[in-house]
Amino acid sequence: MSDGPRVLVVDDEVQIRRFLRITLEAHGYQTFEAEAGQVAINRAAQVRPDLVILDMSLPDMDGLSVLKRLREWSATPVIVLSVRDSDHDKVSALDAGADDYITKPFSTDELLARLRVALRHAAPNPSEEVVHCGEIEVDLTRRLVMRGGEAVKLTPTEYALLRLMIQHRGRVLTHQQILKAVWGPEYVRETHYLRVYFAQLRQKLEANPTLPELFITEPGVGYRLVCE
Amino acid sequence: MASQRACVPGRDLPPLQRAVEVDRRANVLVPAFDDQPSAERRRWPWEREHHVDAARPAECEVDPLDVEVRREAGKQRVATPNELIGAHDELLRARFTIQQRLPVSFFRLGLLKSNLSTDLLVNLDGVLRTAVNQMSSVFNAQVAITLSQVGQLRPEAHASSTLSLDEKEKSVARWAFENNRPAGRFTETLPLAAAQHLPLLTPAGSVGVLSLRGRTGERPSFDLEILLETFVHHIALVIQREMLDEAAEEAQMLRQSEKLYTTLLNTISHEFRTPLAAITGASSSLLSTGILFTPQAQRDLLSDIYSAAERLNRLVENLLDMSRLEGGRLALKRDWCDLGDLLGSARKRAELPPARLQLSLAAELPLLRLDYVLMEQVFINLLDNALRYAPEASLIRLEATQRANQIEVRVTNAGAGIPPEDLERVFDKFYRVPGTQPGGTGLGLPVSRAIVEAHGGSLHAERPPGGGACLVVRLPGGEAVPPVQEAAL
Repeated sequence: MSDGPRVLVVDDEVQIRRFLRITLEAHGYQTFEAEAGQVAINRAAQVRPDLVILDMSLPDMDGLSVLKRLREWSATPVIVLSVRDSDHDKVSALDAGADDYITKPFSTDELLARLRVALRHAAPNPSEEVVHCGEIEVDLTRRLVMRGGEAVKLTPTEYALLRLMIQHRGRVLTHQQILKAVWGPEYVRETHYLRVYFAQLRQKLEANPTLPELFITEPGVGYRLVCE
Repeated sequence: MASQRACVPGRDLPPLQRAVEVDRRANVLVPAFDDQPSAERRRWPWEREHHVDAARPAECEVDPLDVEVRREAGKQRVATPNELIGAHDELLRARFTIQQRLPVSFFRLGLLKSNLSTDLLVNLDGVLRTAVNQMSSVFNAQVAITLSQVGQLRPEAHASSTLSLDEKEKSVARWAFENNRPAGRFTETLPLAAAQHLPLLTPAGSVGVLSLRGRTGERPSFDLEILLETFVHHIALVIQREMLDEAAEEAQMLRQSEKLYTTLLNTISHEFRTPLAAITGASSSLLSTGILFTPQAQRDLLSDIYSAAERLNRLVENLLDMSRLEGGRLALKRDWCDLGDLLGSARKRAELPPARLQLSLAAELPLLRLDYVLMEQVFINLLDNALRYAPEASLIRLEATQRANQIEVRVTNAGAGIPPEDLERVFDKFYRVPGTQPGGTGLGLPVSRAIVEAHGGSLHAERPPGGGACLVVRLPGGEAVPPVQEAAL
């Protein structure tokens, strides 16, 4: 077994666990498995994983409860496995402290990208000064935004939004998380603010604003800044 | 007259054998009138024989209590003495009133018949409601109709009934039903009951019981009794007809739904098997020992597996949406949506390469309150279709415009187009334009239309002048977007 990051896979389907084990080990991760909620909690305490992949529907308890129990004593990043129609579950999981989610069925590439992002965010982060994301470059100390080498002028709100997304790049942020962080807790229901401001950000920062590659909408959940 | 002795049945009054059978099935005999009523009044049969003439009283007085109950070998019931006497008295007391009222009653009966027969009463409920209403007013009574079900009287009367039956009355009604004979008040069986219970008899058996309780508590007049018999008989026949109609309709519906179910199963299993066959075939090739595939061949097989699995996933999503739509369990989760954003993500999920997309979005499209996930599914389906039926490497046009208070999105391809006669049929579940290659789920368009309609919009297909197929989504854009403010930083 390699000494890469330790991943606990929690899923009741043996085929899913097998496929994840083979894939993750092929990419240098160490894997541990649990087929039910209670087992997962015990296993997590025992092996101290660097990351947990948690299926939301388990035979003995729902994934959300497992997540909450885990969060009582552990800050380990958790990526939730969910199905398309349950955006409510996804949002609840993210609000309960999950780091990200992935919708079944998913491709291995998607999963590995999420894993890398979650592990990076969990690692102690040296304070960044300049962040590159695709064509854009953000100088966080001097509050400068460049696209393709040219300065882009953003309003204070646009900049606050961009900075938040940059800090959490690669991760999904829920509507509520974004509204709370940028506008304040009393604005968490004003989702139309986000439609307007993300449209503006795309207009200024995307190569093709109508086919965004950076600021990605996560239907029913929130937004993700993709910096691959 | 008051000093006369009471009539003695069998001596002063004849046996009631001259009665005329009105309804053989009900086994009820009622006395007949003279065919031509005299100028003075109608006569009872025995009056002619024994010259008992009420207008010219005989030597005895008819006492209701003295009149004997007569049956004929237990097969047929003769109108009970009470019935006869009651009617007789009524005739004597108010013959003119009666003569005036009779035509009115029969007119009402005609009304009932015509009401019951009209097609407006499309179902049994309507028939029963009309019957109860008409009977209540004609007989100035509360009426309950209790239908039978598989040979038993139902425990509760029909909802339209104006008379509520307690347990005792119900047991009388049950007796009437089981014995195919009237029971209860004004009858010879259980006359202490509050209501009169008449079986609804038809040639095929009894369909229920009609219970009737006069508001005045007085026994109905003789002509009303006859009228009642006629009513009950007619209602029974109409109910029977309706029951047969409903049974036939139910059988028809069952046949249709079974057919639909079979079609659905056949189609779904076909739609599932095609990608499953690709997956099984490709993966078993890769697994088979002794064959060395080139890296390119391996990749091809693997990508076949991948796209077949994606197709299965789309099929499942559409099936789920369809079942939620049909079950009426679809609650839209509306939120403000940027249409451009939505079209962009649908484009991505439909795997339409940007190079093949010709996108034109009107500037300043308003935000719309939509269910993002479902509307995204609509455009995924439309783009998926457009791609499937388009020539290789041809452009797919996606346009969004605003007209007055309406947003219109058009998805156009350069394919063969949809024949005019199929423009509407492509929205039928599992319909496929004849001669087109298989591959879709057969559900994409119907599901999409249902979703768009749930949003108050419309979806239809067109044949654009330049050729190809065009699917047009129209959405209401009326809602004003609330103001947006800068963050306080």
